[in-house]
Amino acid sequence: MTVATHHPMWIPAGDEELMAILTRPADPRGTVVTLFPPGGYVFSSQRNRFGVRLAERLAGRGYHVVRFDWHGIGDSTGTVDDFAHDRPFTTDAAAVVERLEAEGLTRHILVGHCFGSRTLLAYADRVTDLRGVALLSPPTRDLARGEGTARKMAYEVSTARYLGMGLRTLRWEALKTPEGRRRYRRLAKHLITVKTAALRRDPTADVRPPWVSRLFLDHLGGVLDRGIPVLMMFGVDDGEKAEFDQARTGTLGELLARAGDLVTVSMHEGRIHGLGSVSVQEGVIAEIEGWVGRIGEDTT
Amino acid sequence: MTVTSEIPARPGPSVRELPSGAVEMACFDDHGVFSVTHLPAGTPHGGVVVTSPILAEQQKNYRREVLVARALADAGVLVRRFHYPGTGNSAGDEPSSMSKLVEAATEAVEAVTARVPRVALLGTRFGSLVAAAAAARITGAPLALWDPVADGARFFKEVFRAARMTAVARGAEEVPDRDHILDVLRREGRFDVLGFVVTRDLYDDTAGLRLPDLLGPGARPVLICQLGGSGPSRATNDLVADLEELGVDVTVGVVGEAESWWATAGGGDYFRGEEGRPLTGELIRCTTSWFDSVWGTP
Repeated sequence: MTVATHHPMWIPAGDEELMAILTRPADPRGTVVTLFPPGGYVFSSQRNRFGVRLAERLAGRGYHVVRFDWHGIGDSTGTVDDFAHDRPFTTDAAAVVERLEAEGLTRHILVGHCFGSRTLLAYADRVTDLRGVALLSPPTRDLARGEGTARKMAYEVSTARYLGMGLRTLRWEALKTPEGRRRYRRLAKHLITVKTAALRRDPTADVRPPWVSRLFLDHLGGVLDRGIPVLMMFGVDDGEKAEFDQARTGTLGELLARAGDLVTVSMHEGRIHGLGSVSVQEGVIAEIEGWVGRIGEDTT
Repeated sequence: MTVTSEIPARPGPSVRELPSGAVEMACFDDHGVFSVTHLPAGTPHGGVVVTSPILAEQQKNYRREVLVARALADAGVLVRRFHYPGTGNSAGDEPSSMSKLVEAATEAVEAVTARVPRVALLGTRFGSLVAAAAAARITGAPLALWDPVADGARFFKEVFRAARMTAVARGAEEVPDRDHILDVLRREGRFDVLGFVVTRDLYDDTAGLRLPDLLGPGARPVLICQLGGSGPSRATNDLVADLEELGVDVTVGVVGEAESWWATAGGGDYFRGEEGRPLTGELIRCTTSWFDSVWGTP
């Protein structure tokens, strides 16, 4: 029995064109789920065809599903240098959603992974008929990929220990490449910033890692203020989970408490970030499918 | 820029036309196999089928394959890329045998030869084995190889090492050794390596394969792009010697730096676009200039 068909699409986005795959259900119910991929070189099928499998499962429930490659990734055109959480790719998001709306698919559920979750949150206020938002290991801080570890370590450990750790993990061959040198320059820069401020006892120096992003709070708050259900999923070993726990002790916790039942926070074994095991992938797919089904009952 | 794609009622190609007149056409075939065909402006003077790696290496190498396809199309070459059944966007179960991979490659070759009189293959990593087996059916077809897997057993050794290294890095109580992994494969029919599935069928079918055996004897030009090093490595020299015994005219290009196929670029903690990586540019230049030398510039 055919439950779905897949259709490639090129979608103009600014000066670029994005490769997208629309999965069309055999028995459509009129809601489209858009999968926002993580940052990095992963194209829209994602690890072990996670995106394809999720699309087929949701299509089996009657949902259209679209997944796409960011500009500069996969089959899309353009170039990309970084995936900074405070510079989400809302142009890409707008292009995909507007294209779907032009085709008559105006009722939306958005599902994003890591950087994708930050982009969908940043764009969500422009989606008129938004029925739900699912966030997989959403970063609560505004850091470029890889910046977080260096800053956190520079802040939290002593100079001697920091240097010791750096030397133990130093791979001399890495210094032969521009990428390797850039990595170690970044480590050194954060160490100097933090420790210099400490020596000067400068109380105004902002050396603390930002535990929660103001943008993240604003965007999430905007979605919740509209009464839109939100699913937040973490792996217990995700770095994002630790950041989320810290953030939850402050303003984020207050925001979630006010939202009440609108927000579902779920924890999975291992790591959701990167979807690094088949069992995690299956658990995430099953949870999203169940959650979409629950909120979908209100959308028909 | 003209975009003619629409959401079709039935599966069909989506076409992207470039200002140069070149075209990229993405589609699923009747079996759900996803492919992208890069048509150059004007009449193509040759065709290349790209056979990709599998597992994590497929994702890692994907953008480079898109970029080399676009570069070759700019040089007047028709290029067809596809996802093996059960990988990437294509429908199906996980790959279970070399013959199924080669069958998909052969279908891509047939699609190319319907449009151009001469065809070559570009195999990347594990895809080198597939490319060699498919090229063996085409007398004299040029064969370009990126960081080729010349030996199936060696490939799986690297894959299983990635599983062990990840377990160590994550502080796992039990680090799976090769015997354990093979035992799981025998008992359960599959093993999870960083979220990718290695099947017993694929392991059993391909671990004993060697690239020279798949290619077989016959004169043809072959390019080996070795990643990193100051000169050809021992493994490259061994492969060259084996291929030359078959009558193959081998060119070796040493480009860029060694790739960590199972780690994220640069050590795992940050991203850099492929277009900005010297390795990618060198690989593409090495490949396009070799095809120029083999076929001549139109």
